Amino acid sequence: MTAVAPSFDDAVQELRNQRSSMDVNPYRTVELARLVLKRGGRLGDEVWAVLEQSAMALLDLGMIEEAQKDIDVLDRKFAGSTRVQKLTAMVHEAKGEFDHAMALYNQLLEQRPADTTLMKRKIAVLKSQRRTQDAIAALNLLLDTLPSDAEAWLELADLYAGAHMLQPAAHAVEEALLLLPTNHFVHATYADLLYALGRRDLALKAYCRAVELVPGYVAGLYGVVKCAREVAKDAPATPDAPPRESYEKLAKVAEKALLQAYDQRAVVAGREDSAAVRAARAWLTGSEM
Amino acid sequence: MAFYDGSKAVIVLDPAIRNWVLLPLMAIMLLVGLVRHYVTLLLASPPGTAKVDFRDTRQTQALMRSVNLRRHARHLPPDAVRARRSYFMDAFKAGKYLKATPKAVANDDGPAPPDMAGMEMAMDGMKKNMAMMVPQALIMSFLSAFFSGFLLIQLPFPLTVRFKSMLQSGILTPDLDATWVSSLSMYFISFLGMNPVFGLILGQGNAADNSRDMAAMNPLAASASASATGATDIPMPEIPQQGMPMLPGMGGADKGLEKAFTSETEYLQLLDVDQVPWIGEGIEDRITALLTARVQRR
Repeated sequence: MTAVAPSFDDAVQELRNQRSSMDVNPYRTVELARLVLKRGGRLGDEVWAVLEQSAMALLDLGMIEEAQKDIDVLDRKFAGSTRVQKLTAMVHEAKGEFDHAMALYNQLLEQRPADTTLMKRKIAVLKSQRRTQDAIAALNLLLDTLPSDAEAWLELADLYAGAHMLQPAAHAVEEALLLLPTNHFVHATYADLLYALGRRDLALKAYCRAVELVPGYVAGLYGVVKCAREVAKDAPATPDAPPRESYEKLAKVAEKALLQAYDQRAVVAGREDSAAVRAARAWLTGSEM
Repeated sequence: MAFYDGSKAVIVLDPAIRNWVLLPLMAIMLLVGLVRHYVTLLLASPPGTAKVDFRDTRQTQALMRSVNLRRHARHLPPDAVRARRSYFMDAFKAGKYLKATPKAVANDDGPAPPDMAGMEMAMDGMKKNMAMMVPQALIMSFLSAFFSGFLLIQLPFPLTVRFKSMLQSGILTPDLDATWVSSLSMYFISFLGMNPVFGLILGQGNAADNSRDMAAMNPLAASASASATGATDIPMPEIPQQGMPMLPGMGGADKGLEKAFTSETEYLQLLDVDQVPWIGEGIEDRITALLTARVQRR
């Protein structure tokens, strides 16, 4: 975690960004929320949104009693609110009381038939109960009506991949890609699936795209190194395919970029490389397999 | 007092005009805005409770999905684009995403059966429009009844004569400086400029915002802004907007959507996948160059 605690305003802004982002670290959320809620009076009406955020992050981390405290505060303010009841249902989920949670979601859906977050929570319950096929079926139904939800497509891809159904998973990620074409993370996910499907040439292109969007993206760079090396080894079949040297060149320059990134972080950290970093360097310089 | 000072007449306004017309006018506009805001909040139903017919959503979303495919085709490998293109063309031709239309509409004669969910949304839209239009109409008739025929205010900056028709509705005289404004015109101009004031008082996203009224009153502006947000490079089928006040019994929206599907199918047919500039084409060389530059810079 950061050595210096962020200022109040920075923390509030970061929490705001997290509320609209998909890529959320619950530890960070809890840390920021604790900081901000200590002086909750300064937030005005935003404090309720932060409490909700904090409760959900705490449930993510399994800190159920603390989450319940936040929910009680919300319940006192917004008695009988559907949104607060949704949090209560999430507490049931966290405790493993899935039937209870499912019943509560169904009840809430009767009051709010158009609330997609409730539908998604039901799918989350199915997922927790390991009813993967049911979850996949329910999510497909949701996406049939509301296909413009990238988060849902990525979740479907995750479910398919977990069930070893890689082709449908790739199809789902493609849908997410059409909705978020400039998101490096989605490109990298697509690349991972393509690699698993054996399409290393396409995987390389997808990793390249992720790096093109965010040049310092470490996962993307690793993907480029691995795929470029392997494509170079499986010599190109047709004469009009790019020559193997160009792939080797790409692998080399990506390796260099990664090694430089490690060097820079070593300077910042000010201590010796850990065993993991040493192993990574060895792999990159080719002194390992 | 010099009423004529050589080149032009000097006009001095009775301070009573300021006290009894200008200030009350501003106060009324502010208060009406505030009332509108709070009334909208009171009338609004909690999110997610609005009755939505998901079959309507499904139709429009399917269309949007196809439009999105055409817009972002270059981000997917060509095979993926080809597969989706043929899927959508087949699905749209078979009417897979259309709401099941009762026979009466398909026959094209007689009124279509009323669409319940559509009517609910139309009522909601009309309610909101009423809340916006009624106070405006009332104030305007009040002004023209009581406060017409005199000058209200002089603007502190010089204006050309072209502004006279805009600023002096009701008191058109050939000689009068364009900087003198009549009460009705003052109301109009202030009405247009009240948004920042409400933003300060009520915070962003307040319901006293009249930019949405402007869009409702001016369909041209609405479509211009809609196309400005999306990409204007690909042709889009015309999708009848939901939420516009529709007369009950109008099945026109359904027919409009059938047409939209047909035109979208045509656009899909026109999409030549081989011509799409796939980003994956030559990307390895681009990345080699990009990373080489990055590595050398350190």
